[in-house]
Formats: sequence, C-alpha cells, structure tokens
Amino acid sequence: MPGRLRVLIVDDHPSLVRAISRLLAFDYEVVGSLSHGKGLLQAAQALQANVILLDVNLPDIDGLTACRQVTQAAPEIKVVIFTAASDPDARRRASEAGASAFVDKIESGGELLSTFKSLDAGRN
Amino acid sequence: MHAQHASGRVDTCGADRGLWRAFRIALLGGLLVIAATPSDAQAALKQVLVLQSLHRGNLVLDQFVGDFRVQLDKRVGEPVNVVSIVVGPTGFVGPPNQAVVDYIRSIYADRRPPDLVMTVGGPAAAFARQHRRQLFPEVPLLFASVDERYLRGPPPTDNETAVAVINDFPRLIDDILRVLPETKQVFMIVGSGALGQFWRRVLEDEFTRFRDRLTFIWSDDLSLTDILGRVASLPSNSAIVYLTFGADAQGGAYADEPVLASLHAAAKAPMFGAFSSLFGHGIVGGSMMSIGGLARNTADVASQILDGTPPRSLRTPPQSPGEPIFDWRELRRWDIPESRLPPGSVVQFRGPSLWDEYKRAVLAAIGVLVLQSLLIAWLLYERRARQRAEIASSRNLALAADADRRETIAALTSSIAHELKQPLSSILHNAQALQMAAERSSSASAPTGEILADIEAEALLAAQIIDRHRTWLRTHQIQKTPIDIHSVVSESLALVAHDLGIRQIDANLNLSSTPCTVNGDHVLLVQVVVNLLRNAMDALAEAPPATRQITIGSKVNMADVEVSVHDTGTGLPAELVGTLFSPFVTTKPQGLGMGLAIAQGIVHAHGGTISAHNNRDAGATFTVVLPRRLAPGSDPSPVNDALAAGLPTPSR
Repeated sequence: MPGRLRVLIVDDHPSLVRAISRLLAFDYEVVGSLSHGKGLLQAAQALQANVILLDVNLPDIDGLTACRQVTQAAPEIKVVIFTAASDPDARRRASEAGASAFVDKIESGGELLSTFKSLDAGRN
Repeated sequence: MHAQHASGRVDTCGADRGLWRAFRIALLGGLLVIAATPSDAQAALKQVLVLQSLHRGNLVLDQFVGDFRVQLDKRVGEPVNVVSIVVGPTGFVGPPNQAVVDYIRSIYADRRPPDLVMTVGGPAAAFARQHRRQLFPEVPLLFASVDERYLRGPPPTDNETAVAVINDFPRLIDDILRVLPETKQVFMIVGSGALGQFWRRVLEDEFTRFRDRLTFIWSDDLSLTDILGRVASLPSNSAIVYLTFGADAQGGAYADEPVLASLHAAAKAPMFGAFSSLFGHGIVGGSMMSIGGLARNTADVASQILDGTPPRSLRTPPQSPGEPIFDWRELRRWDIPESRLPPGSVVQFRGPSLWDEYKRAVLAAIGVLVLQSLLIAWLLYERRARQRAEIASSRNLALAADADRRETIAALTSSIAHELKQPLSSILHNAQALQMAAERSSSASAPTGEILADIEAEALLAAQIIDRHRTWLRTHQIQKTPIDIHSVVSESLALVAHDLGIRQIDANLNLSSTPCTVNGDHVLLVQVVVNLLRNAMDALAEAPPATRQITIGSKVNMADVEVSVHDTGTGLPAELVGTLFSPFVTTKPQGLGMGLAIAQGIVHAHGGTISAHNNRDAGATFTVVLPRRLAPGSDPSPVNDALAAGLPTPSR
C-alpha cells in the first residue's frame, strides 16, 4: 500500500504556504515548498513528491508553463493548479497544460481537501 | 505831482553858471525841436508842445511821458506831433529864463502855434504859469503830472486845466509803521538843492504828527557817497523813504535807476517809495501813485482838448495814491510778514512756490506714482485672477484625477482581486486547519497561537489593501506633505504588480540610495507613477515576453528629484510628438487618452516637469522632475550628491 501523498507546494506567498501546509499535514506529507518555478521538476523528483500544488503567478515563470514541463517530463507527478484566477479560461488552460485539478484559492466547501482526497484515492 | 525842481542848480552854482546851463539845455531842447519840427506835409497834424521839468533819467516822469504818448496816439487815432522842451532848470524858484521862452516862441515864429501846451511835473508847471502870456496864451494849457501843491495860487483860467495828483507822503509813513512798527527813524532821500529843500520843508510840516514817534533824517545836504554810507550803517529800527533824487549836494546829476540800485545794495534798512515807477527797483512798497493810470487820464483830457473841448469843462479831481503794493522779494529780504500788510495790499513779484517751481516734476512724479499704482493694482488683480484660475484649475485637476483613478482601479480590478485573495486564502485555510484539528481532536502541525497570529496578520493585510484602493476611489484634493518618492514607487508597483505578472513584464528598480524627499501629495504622485507604469505596460504588449522590461529609476539632483519609467516597448509614435501629454491623445483602442495629460497636470501642480523620449535601443523613457524638499537646516551637500552619483565621499 502506497504511503501518504507527498505534496510539494509552490507559491510566492509565504503565509499562504504555511496555511496550506498546516491544512494538508493532517492527511498528507508536505515534503517542501518553493516560492518560484525554476527547477520545479528537479525539486519534485528529488523530494519524491506525488503532487505539486502550483500557483500560476510565479515571479520567475508562468505556472502553467511549469505545469506543462512537469507533466510532460514526469507524468506520474500530479499537478494541482492553485490560483486566484477562477475564470473558465483559467481552468481550460490548466487542463491543457496537463494539470490534474484546478483549485481556486478562495475555494469553498473544502474543495482543496476533496481534490487531494480524490487524487489520493485515484492513486490507490 | 512831480517833486524835482532843477532850478536848485541855479541856486547852488550861481546865476552865471545857471544861465549857461539853461542855454545848454535850451540848445538841446532846440535840437529836439529841430528833430521834431513838422514839415509842410505834417501841417495838418495836431501839434502838442510839451514842457518838461527834467531830462530823462527820472523814472517817474520818463514812464509818464512814454505812457502818455502811447495813450494819446490811441485816443486821437492819428499821429500827433509832439515837441518836447526841457524847461525845468529855470522854472521853480529862480527867475524865468527869458531865453528859453524866446527860443520856444522862435520855434513857432513861422508856423501855426501848437494845439495844446502841456507841462510835465511841478517845475514846468510853474514855468508855464509864469510865462503864460508869452507862451501862446490863446492855446489850451494842460498841467500834467503835477502835485497840486504846485498849483496853489490863482485858479486856472478857462483855457487851462490840470490832471494833478495829491501825493500823500504821511500815508506812506503810516504804511511803514504798520509793517515795521518798531521803526524809530526814517531816512528821507529827496534830492538836493532847491528841490530837496522844498520837499524837506513841505514834508517836515506834514510829518509833524510823527514827531513823538519818529526821527527823520534828510539827505538834501548829503553827497551820494555820504548817503550810501549812511544807509549802510543805519540801525535796525530804521526805514528809508525814496521820493526822488536828481542831484546830490555836490551838484552831481544822477538818474534814479543807478541810485536806487546802489541804495538797495548798501542799505541796512528797508526802502519805501510812493510812485509805482519806483516799484521793482528795491522798494518794499506802500501806497503807490499809479503813473500808468495818471498817463491814461492825462491822455484822455489831452485828446479831448485836441478834439476841441474847452479846458474849463475838463476839470478832473487830483489823483490819489492807489491801494498799497508790496514787493514779495523785499518783504522776504527784510523778514516782513504779510500779515502786517494793510488790508487790500497787493503783493507782486511773488517768487515761485515749491509747487510752482517743481510743478512739472511733482506732476510727473504723481503721474508716475499713479501709473505705478495702477500697474500694481492691475498686477494684483491679475495675480488674484490667476490665483482664482489656479484654484479652479486645481479643482478641475483634482476632479480629473479622481476620474482617472477610478478608471485605473476599474482596469486593475483583477489585480485587486488577486491581491486580496492571497491573505483571504491564507485566512481561509488556516481556519480550516483549526477546524480540522478540532474535529479530529488532534493537534495541528503548528501551535494554535501561531495560526491565529497568521490569521490576524493576513486580515490586517487585506484591510490595508482595501484601504489603499478605497483611498484611490475617494474624492481627493491636493494635500502636500513631505514624502519619499521611493514610497510612491513602491505603492505604485504594488498596485500594478498583478498586471505586471499577468503580462509577463519584469519590473526592475534602479533607485537612488539617497532619500528622494519632495513636498507632494502621495496619492496624486502614486497616480502619476501608476499612469506611467500602465502606459509602459501597454507599450510592451506587442513585445516578446522575454524582452518585456520596465525599469523605474530615481535620481537626486541639487535642487530636484527625477523619477523615470523606462520600458523596452515600441517607443513613442512619431505622430504623437508634441501632443503626447495633451488630453484625448492615445493610440489605444480603449481608453480616453487622459492618463498622461492628468499625470502632467499633477506634476505641474507640484511645480515639476514631465517629459518623454525614445530610448536609443528600444522603448521609451518618461521622466518626472520634482522640486527637491530639503530637510530643515540642511542643504544639498556634496556628500549627498556624491552618494547619489555613486562617487566616493570626502572623508570628514
């Protein structure tokens, strides 16, 4: 039986990273966090992350571009786009970039947790 | 009226000498007669024989005769032939000079007698009376310019009349005492010889009433040199009266004018006279006999006689002295206040007052002052109007800036939402973590207190974001305070940060290490930088993402601060050069083109300038220059400038 999901958080807002880490830590293992997109694939692989929670607006690289690079190079790593832009186009662009899920930063009803639960279930 | 009597010379020089002198005078008179002898062509002209008392040089008689001739010509309407003979030297107290009479008769021996015989002065009147029977008794005789004292005796015949005067010398003394009440002695200049003795005798009698108050000093036995010496040493409470002169005690003959000039120069006391002809020759003034008026009256009578009017019907009352006349220059010289002058006095030769003297300069100065005042008033009015316009302009600018900020906020809505979502998301997920810990009765990965502190911090951050944008939406009037332009840059970047990210634009800072303090309105200056940033972001829309760069720089100069926004976009279109900051100028399909115009308005309201130029490589640079605000007591030191320029600073 696989172990707990290993989650890598990528966001340039430290307080938000801390909040997400506290929430996910109940059921999952937060293996690390990045405030930029550069070297994301290498970091995910090094940390043996199963899931990357990825912000779209990163200071150095477009999050969707980073998503595309990861999913193409390591399809086993699931990417969850985590963004403040919740328009339909954003969801479509995330899907096209290979993201497994799209979560609004102001999600309601525990969308983030349910998304991770689905990913975890799908892994089994 | 006339006081002089030339016959005194006979008395003082002896009868032989007097006869010889009479002959000489008669000869001279003859020459005059020859010069004036009427020709046949002039036979029809009126003929007047004038018997003069004195030769020229007596100011009174000279003026009288001159004025009379002019007035007579005017009244007759045609030239009158006047034959003048000086008879005075033989006419007063001495026996008549028969030779003169004969000479006069010889002149008219072969022609018709004159139409009128007129005597001038007292001596000539006496001469004519004495020889009336020999001197054309059938011809009308007019005694002119004669003091009535000379006419006492038999009344005039039907063929005689007079235009006489009453010289009132006591009245002149009254005038002196009125203007100089301290006067104790009066020096009387009356000429010498029989003339001087006559007037001394007459006046001593008339001056009796002054005996207790005044001492009279008489000049009739003094030479001119002595007289000048006496007047030069008179005590301060003295006055001088000049009646006439003619000759001094040594027999020297003098004209009035130089004698008066010498007296005026030497006298230590004011000099008074009773004839208007003397006025202006150093005489203080007094009640004056008008010689001009006397000449006119005499010409009236003479012209009527020539016109056939019998002399007996032309009796005129003797002329009295006129109103007192005073010479302003002499009043000043002797420090006589005008308040002492008799009522009705006329002051002549009044010097120009300061006003008269400097009237042009004063008027010019007043004109200049008025013009200057008008100019100042106009400038103040203009200044006031400009202030009002500036206030109105400031209000308009504020309104336009408000509208522009609202438009900016609208354009940045997604940025605001994105910015707010960060703290809200953090709060939300922290809250979920706490809830989960509570549900599972387990502890979270972090202490509860730490989570709550994060929630509080993020809530404050959200509030600040809201406040910042609410400030932008609020109506705003310019309020200048000392602000660091770098804080303006930071806030501007925060406002557009999300847009910069979405548009994949790199924003770089190249700020001065020296504080860039200006006196300005924080909100409006942020608006300026945001507008420039948005303008730069739009200019980068077509540029490849890898090249999209905006650099915000600052520089501190001696007197001002520069803030520049440099982009690597498409540069300024050539067609917009010169109108870049004009309202409604834009190349964008959306937008009113007010952003740069409002930026310029705000910068100008801060006393600054804004400019733009294309970069050498790519894009454009907009530069705002604002007056630097120096800290109290500080000055733009070389140290700060060196720091700003990145130069080594001098050691202290």
